[in-house]
Amino acid sequence: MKYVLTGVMLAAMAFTSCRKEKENVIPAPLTGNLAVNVDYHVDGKQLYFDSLIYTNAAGNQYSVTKVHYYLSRFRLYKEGSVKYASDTIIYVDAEKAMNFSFRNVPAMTYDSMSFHIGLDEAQNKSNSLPATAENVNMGWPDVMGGGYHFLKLEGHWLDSSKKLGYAMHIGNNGFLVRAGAKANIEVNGGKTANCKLMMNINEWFAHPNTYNLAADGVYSMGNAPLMKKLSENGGDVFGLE
Amino acid sequence: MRTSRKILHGLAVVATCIVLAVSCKKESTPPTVTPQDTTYKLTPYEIVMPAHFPEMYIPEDNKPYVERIELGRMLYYDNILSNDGRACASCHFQSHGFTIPGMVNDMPVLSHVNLAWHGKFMWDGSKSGTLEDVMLFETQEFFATNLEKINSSEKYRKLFKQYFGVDYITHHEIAYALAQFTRTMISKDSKYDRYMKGAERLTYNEEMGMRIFFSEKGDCFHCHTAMITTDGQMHNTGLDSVYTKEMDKGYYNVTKNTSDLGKFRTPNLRNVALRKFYMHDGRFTTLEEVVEFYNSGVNRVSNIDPIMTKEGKENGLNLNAVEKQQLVAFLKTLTDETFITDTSFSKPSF
Ligand code: HEC
Ligand code: HEC
Repeated sequence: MKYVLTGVMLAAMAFTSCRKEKENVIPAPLTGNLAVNVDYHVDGKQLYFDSLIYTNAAGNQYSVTKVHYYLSRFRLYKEGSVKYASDTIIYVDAEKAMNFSFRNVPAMTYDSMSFHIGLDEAQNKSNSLPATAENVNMGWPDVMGGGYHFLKLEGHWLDSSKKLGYAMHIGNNGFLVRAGAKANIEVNGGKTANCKLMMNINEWFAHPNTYNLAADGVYSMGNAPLMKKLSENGGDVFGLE
Repeated sequence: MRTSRKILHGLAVVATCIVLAVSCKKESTPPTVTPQDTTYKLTPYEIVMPAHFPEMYIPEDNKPYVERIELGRMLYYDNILSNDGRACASCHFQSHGFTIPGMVNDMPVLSHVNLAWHGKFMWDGSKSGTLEDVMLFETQEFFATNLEKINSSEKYRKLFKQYFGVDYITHHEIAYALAQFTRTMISKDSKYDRYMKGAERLTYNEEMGMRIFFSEKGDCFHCHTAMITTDGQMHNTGLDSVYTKEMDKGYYNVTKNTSDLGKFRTPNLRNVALRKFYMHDGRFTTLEEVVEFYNSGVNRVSNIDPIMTKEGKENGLNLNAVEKQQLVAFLKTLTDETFITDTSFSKPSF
């Protein structure tokens, strides 16, 4: 009796799987994967943490001790229209190597990519992300509007001769960074294409707004004009290779 | 009947082998604890995670069981682990949030609360890893537990055989049992927790203090994060301008990297009002003194945490007298009476 039952079940399984295959006949893979690597530089110089060796557009000499941020809402374009969209949210700590990939990306050559540094309104609510240690540490207090830090960029700088700290923090809806970069990414069916997102730290302090740590301030959290400047500057911090 | 039992038994053995093989593949260091050896049936225990706390790491080979937790608790209160009459509980009193109102080697005793969320232990971050790793240090190095002594105890031999399946107790099983117990020591019912759940109101001053704590005004939350009250990271808060005592060098003593001078692991602030000595060397004895340090005593050393210096506030927060009191009032809402009176953490009847 048992054997009969098992036999019937096996047959049924085989049958269903056959049917499934027939339904989606795919002649050749129409999609590939896109692997992304994230890296950093300061106007072409390699980024070394905690080294007071960089100079921004305003002439401030500075170091970097922390770069934590979220990337979200990735879009790939060809001739001005969105051809691929991903709503994955990626937390990045610049001190750790960062690689991620998109799967089932339609095979074609893309000419640009856009994404957000930060989180959309829908996700930017306290405790909306899984409670990992990273997400908890990125929390933006409820008394300041709730949600998460989009960016924490911290380090030291030299004010005439004194070494001081700076903390460029962005959060709160309305200060989302809409970033993007031109690219030439060829995704072939069944293959994995590679690209590299390169953040130029100096771009946080320039274009369109020259940010001067001595004149503008060293602490942006909760300061709307400063967060606006930084958010606008963030649009072109990434280049794509 | 007999044969089918044998088959079942055989199957169980095969299953066990598979489980073992799988778990061996996953673990980088093969577990020496093999509950499969024991015929005693352990009761799984579910650790209830407080809302909005970060995920807790529980190693595959030390899943919580009622019996093992109980064994860990017995060990915590038993001076058999040491060679000088002390138990863990001799320096970690439940009534004080598992610390003591005194110092040991010129150092305040760190509290035992929500330890399972730490990856770095001790004031200077000198121990890192899992709770199992730090407990191994505690029994093997700090107490140098005499294995002959504990193995000559009929009671422990029997319990370790039943719960861990070992004939001879090693530091490893002792550490695992201590980790089982301390992993359950979760504080989640302070006034602040009840306020966050909407179950209790804060007074006006407590609420204002909370606003200072969680806003750029006090800026405590970047290190003492919401709910868990520590980010678990190493920071230099500008406590010293010169590191006179060896211990003041903090994490530098661990890494020998000058950028780590004066860095300490952010301490948890739950039950902070029950402590008598504050900071790694106990230099402050009241919360008012601690707040005054953050308010006006911050030294601008070269590797100070960047968020500690803001323009116009280079030496501290410049709060007024009322705001300072409000901040202290909020810190007092972090006292968890339920935790310090919970009988499942108190001394068992041996
Ligand atoms: C003589 C007093 C004393 C005894 C007994 C004692 N401890 Fe401690 N414990 C301390 C002190 C002091 C510290 C802080 C040490 C440091 O930071 O270097 C500490 C820190 C710890 C920590 C680190 C906590 C943290 O937040 O990083 C753990 C874990 C710990 N003890 C566990 C134990 C266990 C388990 C036992 C029993 C096996 C025990 N202790 C017995 C005094 C004691
Ligand atoms: C840059 C990170 C950071 C910030 C910001 C910060 N703390 Fe701390 N806090 C620490 C560290 C690290 C220690 C331990 C320092 C030591 O032992 O030398 C500490 C210690 C304490 C202690 C003593 C705890 C104990 O058990 O001894 C209290 C209380 C405290 N902080 C409250 C606050 C308050 C209130 C604020 C805001 C005004 C604040 N902290 C801001 C990192 C921080």
